[in-house]
Amino acid sequence: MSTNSNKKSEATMDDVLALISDLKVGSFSKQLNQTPDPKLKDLVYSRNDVTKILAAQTAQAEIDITERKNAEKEKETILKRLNYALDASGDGIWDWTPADGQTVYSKAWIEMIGHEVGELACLASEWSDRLHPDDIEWVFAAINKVTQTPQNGDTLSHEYRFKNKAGDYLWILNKVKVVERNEKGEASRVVGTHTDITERKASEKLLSEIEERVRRSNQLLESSQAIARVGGWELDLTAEKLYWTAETYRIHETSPEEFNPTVDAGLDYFLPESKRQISEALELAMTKGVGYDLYLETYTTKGRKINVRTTCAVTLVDEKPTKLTGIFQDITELTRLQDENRFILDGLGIGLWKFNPVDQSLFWDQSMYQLFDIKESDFSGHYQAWERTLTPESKAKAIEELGQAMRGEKEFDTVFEINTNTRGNRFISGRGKVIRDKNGNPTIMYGMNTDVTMARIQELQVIALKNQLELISDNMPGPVSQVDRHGRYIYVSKMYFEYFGKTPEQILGKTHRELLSSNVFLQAEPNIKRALSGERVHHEMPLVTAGGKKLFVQINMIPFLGQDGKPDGFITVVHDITALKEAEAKLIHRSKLASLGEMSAGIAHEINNPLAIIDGSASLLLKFANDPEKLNSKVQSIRMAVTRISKIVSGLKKFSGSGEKTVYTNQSISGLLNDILTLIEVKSGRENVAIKLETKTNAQIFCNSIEIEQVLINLISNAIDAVKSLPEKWVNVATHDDGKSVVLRVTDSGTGIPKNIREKLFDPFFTTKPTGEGTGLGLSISKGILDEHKASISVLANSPNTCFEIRFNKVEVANAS
Amino acid sequence: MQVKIFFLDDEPDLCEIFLDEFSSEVIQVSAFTDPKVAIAEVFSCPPDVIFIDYRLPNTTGDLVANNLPPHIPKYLVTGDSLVSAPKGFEAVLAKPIDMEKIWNIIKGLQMKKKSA
Repeated sequence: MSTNSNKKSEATMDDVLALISDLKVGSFSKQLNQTPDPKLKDLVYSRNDVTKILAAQTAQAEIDITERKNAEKEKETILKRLNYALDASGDGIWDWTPADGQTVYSKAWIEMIGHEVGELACLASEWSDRLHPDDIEWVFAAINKVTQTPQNGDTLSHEYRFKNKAGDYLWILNKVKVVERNEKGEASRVVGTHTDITERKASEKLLSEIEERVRRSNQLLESSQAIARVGGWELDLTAEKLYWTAETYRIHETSPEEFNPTVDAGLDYFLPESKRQISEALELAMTKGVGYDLYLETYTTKGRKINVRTTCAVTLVDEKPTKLTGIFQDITELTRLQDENRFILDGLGIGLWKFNPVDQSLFWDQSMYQLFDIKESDFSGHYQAWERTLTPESKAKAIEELGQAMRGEKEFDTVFEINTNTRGNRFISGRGKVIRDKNGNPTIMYGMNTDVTMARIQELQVIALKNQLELISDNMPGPVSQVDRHGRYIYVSKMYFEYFGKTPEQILGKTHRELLSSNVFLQAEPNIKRALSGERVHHEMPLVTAGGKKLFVQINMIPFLGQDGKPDGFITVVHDITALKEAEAKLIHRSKLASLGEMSAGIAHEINNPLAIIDGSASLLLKFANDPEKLNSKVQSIRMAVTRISKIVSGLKKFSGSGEKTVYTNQSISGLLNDILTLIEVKSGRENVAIKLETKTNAQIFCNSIEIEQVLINLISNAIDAVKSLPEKWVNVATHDDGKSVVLRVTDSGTGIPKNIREKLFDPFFTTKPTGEGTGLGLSISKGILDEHKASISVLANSPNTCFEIRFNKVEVANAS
Repeated sequence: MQVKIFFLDDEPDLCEIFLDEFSSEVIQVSAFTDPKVAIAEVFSCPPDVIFIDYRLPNTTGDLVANNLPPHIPKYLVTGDSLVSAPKGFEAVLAKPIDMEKIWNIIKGLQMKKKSA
């Protein structure tokens, strides 16, 4: 007892319970002066007991009284100590009589659950009603276990949840002690303490969670180590003992049963250069306490070569190394991947960098030095080393974009220009990723750079080219468009709107079929197909623009090839040739007039001669009225002269045909020649050029006779002009049928046409005649006419004399009716 | 006094018309279709006047005239309206021939001969 009283505030619950159980009930009730009256009757000795004591010990009464007084004094002292202990512990005490459920609660117990003294009844239900529903069953079971029989002991300690006045549950440590039992062994008085352990429980819960996390972390670490192939080792320098973790054994392809690790045994597995490095590093660690981090090559116990990383940290005691610890990591696969990546990155010219925004340090890999044309030894490793390379034009933008990336406003993905020492200005593409801490502050930035100078220049060239092309296309006199290999429009110039009334948005992506009316598309489809198959297509056609303007256009479809060498679409250039056509018509007319004028002098002469005959003969008719023979002769002369004139006029009519009538009929080539012969003879006669006609075929050609006669007159007339001043003057016109074509050759006594002239013969306005004598349009127009007739004209290069050859398509027999 | 006239034209019908129109007791007309024959005849028997067609076989009227004595009056007859009077010719007479003009020329010659 005395020892308990000395402890005061350090009193444990067990001490308290021992004290309570030792106390006489009356004394206890007296000390707990707040205990209500009903309890007193149980706490006071019964009258009979007192009587028995008085009766049995009368002689000793005085002594007893004295002893009693002494005992009470001692009890008071004990109770005083107990109160100190209880106050110090802050625990509540209860005293329960199971027989009637009467329970006494201490002030501390009442205050622990937030009540005032006097608010609670002295009943066990004040306790039991506060139990957490989940705890009621097992708490009662536990209490019953110790109260119903002494076999299970007299004490019990358990924790449960318990509701306070505010309705919150407290965690309670309940210590129970059965202090009295009846004859059946059942508890007749039970006392106990309640300790509020809510805070401890919360701490325990937190601790448990932390432990769980640590356990999981350890598991993760272990599995990570296995996955990452990271082992550990420890060298106890005092005990001269080397320890390996399980993963270190696995990396060495061995086990603790098979291999006893020692420093010397471990070193022997390293390749020579690695062994040298690790030996030196170990020596330094053991003697000077310097740690290391090495990348080495070693063999496993099975003889397999692997790459490893090994680190070492030194534990110093009194500044002397006592223990080395470190990791041992298999980085074979990592090294292989790094080598591969390095190979790929080098091949792609990709440089990698790491920037620490906190201390502004900058790390570059080898490719970066090449990219920036800086020697590694000249590189300061500071952010400014990069900034200094930027050109004035790029600087502000690049720095701003880096800042935006740091602030998390946008990804770092830019192109900047740098000055280099030996390679001039280069364009560099930069991309980077910012790593942040949990507060969002940037801690590190990783990135890559590539030299995109060529791409940039090409890009600029393409842009310039595209602008030029658009400028040219938009300023072409007609629309320009481009379709892909599927016939979909991928480009249209501005003029398209003027011509077709559609904006690029309405056209792009669509096909001709979608844009053209069905009639127009049917006409255009064959040409579109030809162009899509890679054939250049030129054709002329009338066209009415969206504004109602009537035009004559030339449409040029120029195919282009894709990278696979196959046709990849075509460009269409529409030329407005309305003015050209009008001018051409005028020129043709003028040319005809010129030819006509040239011939008119001769023709007039030829007409005036027979007119003179008519006139002269007519004036003599009266004179020979009575001379029938003479009269008849004059009449005949007149008739013949008239016939001559009508022939000439007939030829002239044909020659002066307007050409607007494009009536095609089947004509015999010899018939056409006969028709123009009179006109030709007028000229040839005048120039004393012998004309010889050799028609060996009656084959027919499908033609506009007026146009073909114009061609023939022009050709023969040219031949006459060419030879008229030569000593030998003849023109031979011959036709034959070679089975496929009807061939007409105009050969003259000239000695041919020089090659340089031959090439230009059919060009408009080219003439070899003296100024004023030829328009230079005759052969050009003739060729145009023959082209329309699908006939060809050429100069035979191997003929001893000048020879023009025209080849007409022969009319098939079935059509030559 | 007889007037001697030469006519050179490659049209036989025109030669015949010339003969029919102007031949008389006082007018001796000789017509030629071949220039060479005509030239030869001019020198053997010079005419008072010669009418020469411009376009002749292998030659022209002005070339023929160059080969004739200059004192013989020469008239160029042509159906070609573009031909103007070359040197050595009195005048150009267009076809169809205005016979009145030739008659006037002949009358003029007759008057000249009478007065001489």
